[in-house]
Amino acid sequence: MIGLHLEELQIGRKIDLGHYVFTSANIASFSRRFAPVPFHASEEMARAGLFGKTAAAGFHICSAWMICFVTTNARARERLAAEGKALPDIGPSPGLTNVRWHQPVFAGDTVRNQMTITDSRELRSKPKWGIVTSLNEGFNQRGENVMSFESKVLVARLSDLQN
Amino acid sequence: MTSQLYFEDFFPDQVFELGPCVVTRQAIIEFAREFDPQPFHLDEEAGRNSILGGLAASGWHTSAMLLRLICDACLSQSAVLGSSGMDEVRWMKPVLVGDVLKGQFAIVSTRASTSRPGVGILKFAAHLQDVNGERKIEMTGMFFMRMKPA
Repeated sequence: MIGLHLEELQIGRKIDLGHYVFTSANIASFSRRFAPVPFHASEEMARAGLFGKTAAAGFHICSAWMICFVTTNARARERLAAEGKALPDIGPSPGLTNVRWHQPVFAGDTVRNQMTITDSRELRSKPKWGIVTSLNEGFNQRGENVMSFESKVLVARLSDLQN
Repeated sequence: MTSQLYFEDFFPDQVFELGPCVVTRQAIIEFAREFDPQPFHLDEEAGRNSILGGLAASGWHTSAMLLRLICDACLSQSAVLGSSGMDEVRWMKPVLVGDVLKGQFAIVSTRASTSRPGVGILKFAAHLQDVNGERKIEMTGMFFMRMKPA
């Protein structure tokens, strides 16, 4: 993951995933397709809502984290491939817990995304793999935490490749 | 259904049926290009050769599809004000091209917000499954809902 094997993903390690810029166009595009509720879709309804203006859908904020993660992961793999090094695979994620939208995100906001490793363990049942737990967060341009969730993902072990 | 739903219209064990919704190749690829461009979400062959077993929707896309179906079933006609989060999202099986998804949005509990007058909190459990009854996604979370104007 992010060019790192299980053994390199120490608990507490923070990984910067870059940022995503929210615009009125991408907020409207996501909300129209996936969250067509009055307070996302209509400026007028949004004014009467909790935030006073049109905010990004919560899953848009999460999906923005994902594109930052995938882009960072792909760049790391390209760098390793160019160096002729082994590429650590990642497996599918079984899901998420504690998804929280702490602050609204508006057009013009830039959200910087990061992940922090909170647990890392070998899997007895799958010797090639380990499971990594992370706290995944987004921060706006004022440094306010706007979104967080916890996830688990299977990550290839380095020791297996050396066998 | 055009009538506006308020907090008072929801009650525990109330169930809204979701779908059916056909998952298209175009929708999977379009979402993946924008938010999750991994090979098994973009390319048939890469999908077949992966653990997912075919061109599969991003888990985030499946989550967004579930949200859309909840909107179609009730939220779009409601006084919903947003959500502060989802307690759990489980991606149980890959969602593949051609899957026909149906599911349920069930109200678990309702209570008045302690900090926001005139606002209630709905806790829910939702899921989607394919025509064989195989569950693809489960989600539990909450929505803020405005109470009926006095």
